[in-house]
Amino acid sequence: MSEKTTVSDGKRAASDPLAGQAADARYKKFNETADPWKVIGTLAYGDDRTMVSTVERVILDADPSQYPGFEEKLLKIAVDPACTEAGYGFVCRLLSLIASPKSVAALKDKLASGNEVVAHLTRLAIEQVPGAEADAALRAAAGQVKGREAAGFAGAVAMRERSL
Amino acid sequence: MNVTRRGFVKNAGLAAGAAAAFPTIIPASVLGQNAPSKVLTVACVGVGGMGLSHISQMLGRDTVRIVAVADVDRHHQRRAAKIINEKYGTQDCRMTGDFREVTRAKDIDLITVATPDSWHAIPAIDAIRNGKDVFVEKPLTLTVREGRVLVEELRKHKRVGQTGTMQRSSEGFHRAAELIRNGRLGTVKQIDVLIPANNRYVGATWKPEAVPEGLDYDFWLGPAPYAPYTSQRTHYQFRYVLDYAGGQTTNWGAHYLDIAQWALGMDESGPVAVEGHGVFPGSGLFTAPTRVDVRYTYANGVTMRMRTRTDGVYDGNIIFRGDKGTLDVSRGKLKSDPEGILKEQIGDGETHLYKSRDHFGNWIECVKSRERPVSDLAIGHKTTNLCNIGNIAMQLQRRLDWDPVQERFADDAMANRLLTRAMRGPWSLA
Repeated sequence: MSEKTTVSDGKRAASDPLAGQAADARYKKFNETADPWKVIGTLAYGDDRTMVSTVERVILDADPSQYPGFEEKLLKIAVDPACTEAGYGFVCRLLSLIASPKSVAALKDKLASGNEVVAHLTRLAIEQVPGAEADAALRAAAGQVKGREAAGFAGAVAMRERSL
Repeated sequence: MNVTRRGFVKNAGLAAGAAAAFPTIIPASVLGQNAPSKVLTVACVGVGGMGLSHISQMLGRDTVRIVAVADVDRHHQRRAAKIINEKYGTQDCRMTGDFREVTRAKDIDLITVATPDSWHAIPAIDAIRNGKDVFVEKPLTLTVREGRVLVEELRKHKRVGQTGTMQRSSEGFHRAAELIRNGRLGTVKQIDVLIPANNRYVGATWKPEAVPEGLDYDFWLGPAPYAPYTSQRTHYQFRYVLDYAGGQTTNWGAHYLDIAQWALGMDESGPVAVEGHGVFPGSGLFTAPTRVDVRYTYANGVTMRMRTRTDGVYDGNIIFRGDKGTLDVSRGKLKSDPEGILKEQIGDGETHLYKSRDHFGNWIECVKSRERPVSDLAIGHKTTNLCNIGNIAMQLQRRLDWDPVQERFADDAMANRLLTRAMRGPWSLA
């Protein structure tokens, strides 16, 4: 933290070249900044991603031994009924990087969701999970989902069976 | 006017009537693909900026005739059809918002694809599976997996596919690659690539907007995850959103990394390691890196560095550094040090690279001869791999070991997950 600016009361230090001017409101509230993990579930389309991007960076940089802990935190957000659609999409993108069969089990209902946006966002994560659990979940969902995602799931199952 | 399937078919019927009146316009399915005198029928999928360029490349040729355009933006359809009709003096260019109406049409021989990158693989594969030869813009595909499937389908169906990496049909780049391949720089040690600056900052937030009249936005999104419409997302700017493209890494990297691959004789392979540092916007609509710095290492020890240029020039540049000299090439420049390198002739017994001076013409010739074109899709795929693994390395900010044949990273599960993406239904590669 810069010595020139006090952030606790919104006033600038006398040594600050901008002394006398109102401090940036964001700095004023700096100490009250929310946990970026909690911000994810409140995201709306078009919102500032600055906070949640820090979570993405942490996951991209993580050691694989940390993945289970991150997966658990992400799944907690994902299954929260208050999580927004944009927030859920962000969670699924992050899960696509680290998800394990644990995510397959936790998101099985969302995978077969009647909401085609939610079903596809879930598939972003689950398609990346190798192994029989994801195969079975995708195949089961393919038989349940309706509309445009029915073909999407069928295609996903077919492509998993195609070795390249 | 809403272009329905019925309307399209009706127009197709009119076109068939026109074909009867002008018997030179007979599809290959009737005359045979390589009948030398036949005129090949073409449909252009994606007729925005680059698609119009495709049209202008083909309109002056008597070997092809554009009979249809497909675009999710009705204004694009009309603009393109008007240009085509005016050139031919007819009113029979068909328009559709659904590419499948042209990729599956019996009376069309060739398909060009100039859609956003996220929409390259699906129409190209559909066209190939329906017996068409294809010209697909660069970067060839959004993901490595898409490229593998595309090339496999191309070979399986024995089609001719040209990638839009048109620098291979340019004299300067051909000359540079041929000199290097024949050892005029000695052993190449280092390659430096510059690409133009990336997306501008357009704010930390964006607001969903009403979809403009004439744009089928859901079709525009296609296989990409759902996101509300906002004007900066579509048309030219799509390339700065990683859901649809790879920024300048793939846009310009596809051109200049392609020349490096050609000069090094790596068309069927690629580097064995990649590492990079990019500046990714932490907020806002755009997600592609604004600054790129990627280093590739080939098995023979050659290293290649690609960076964003900062001088405002909207072109790339590539400098090959060997132990006997350097060669500096871009679209408007070919220089060597020492200068004498450029005066050297390539002898009869030396390696002569595939020579094309007309990228579309080369494709059309190959459609007739059934030979592979200068930028065969398999070549475009390998080059696009470099672009895509460069973006992945920058995202992960760590060195990645790459198997250029198996097209997998070694010992990095997260990196391998970034080689493919789940497509939104009903779209898939199956």
